[in-house]
Amino acid sequence: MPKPQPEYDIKDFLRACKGNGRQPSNVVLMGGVLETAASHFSLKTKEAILAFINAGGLEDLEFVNSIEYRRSFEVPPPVCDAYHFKSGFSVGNISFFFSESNRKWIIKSFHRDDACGPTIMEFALRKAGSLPACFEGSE
Amino acid sequence: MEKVICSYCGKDTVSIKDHEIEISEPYAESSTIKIQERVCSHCGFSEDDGSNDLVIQKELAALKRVSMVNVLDELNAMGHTTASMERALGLPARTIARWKNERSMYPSAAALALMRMIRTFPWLLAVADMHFEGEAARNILLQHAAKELEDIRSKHPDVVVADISKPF
Repeated sequence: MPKPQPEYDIKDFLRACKGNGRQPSNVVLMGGVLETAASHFSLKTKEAILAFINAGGLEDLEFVNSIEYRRSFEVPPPVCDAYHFKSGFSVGNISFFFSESNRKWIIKSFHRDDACGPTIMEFALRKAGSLPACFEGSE
Repeated sequence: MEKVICSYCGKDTVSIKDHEIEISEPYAESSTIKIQERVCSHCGFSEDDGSNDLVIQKELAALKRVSMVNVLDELNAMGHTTASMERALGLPARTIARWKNERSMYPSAAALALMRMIRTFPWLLAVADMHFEGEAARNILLQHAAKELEDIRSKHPDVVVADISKPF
């Protein structure tokens, strides 16, 4: 059952994305994350993804749910928090968990969330009759 | 050789798998590159390999150069000379020429964004030429919007085009 409250303090995750000087980042991208971040958000490298997060790019973060990471070998499995965020014309979804065994934050997914409602900018453009056709039907 | 350890379970049962991805830049062709994914046979976890960023950045830099050259070639083909663009945009003489011709030079991200916007809406050069004066800019925008609507109407008579005379 998805939990109604986040498992982690989002500030801890955001702090981890900032890194710690010369220490290597303890944030890991799961396979496939790079591809969706590149195609949905033009963030083409891990460095670009972390820099975007550090620059406050995850706007209007809204908690979605907490679900156990099903493919885990850990007992009990780690819990994965998912959030919606806004960035310009796009609404995105990021999910992550903290692996206790290795003390690393793992970004499980980072993609556009087409199921979400339109952004404020979309509303404004639709009202002006200037919404690009590719954004139509996202409500 | 450094032991590769799974970021999730910490075991050294990690193998490197090559994986092809396509990367692209606006106004440049796309390119397929090989990146590496670490897959752990113990826990099944797969993760991005740290070396991928360098490979991707190198290819992106090459694609960005191609994109800039394509954009400038297309603008030149439309009749916008390099010198006139430099003048309208207030750039030092030979700036755009260097972006185009100096193979060792990689234009900045801001320069590339500027020229892509101008390639997409070349009438922005006319706006720049009018020193970005508000009323002139609005007139240029409306003239080009009206022309676009006329073009759409003539090419696709069945398509209903929004009446821009109505208030929003």
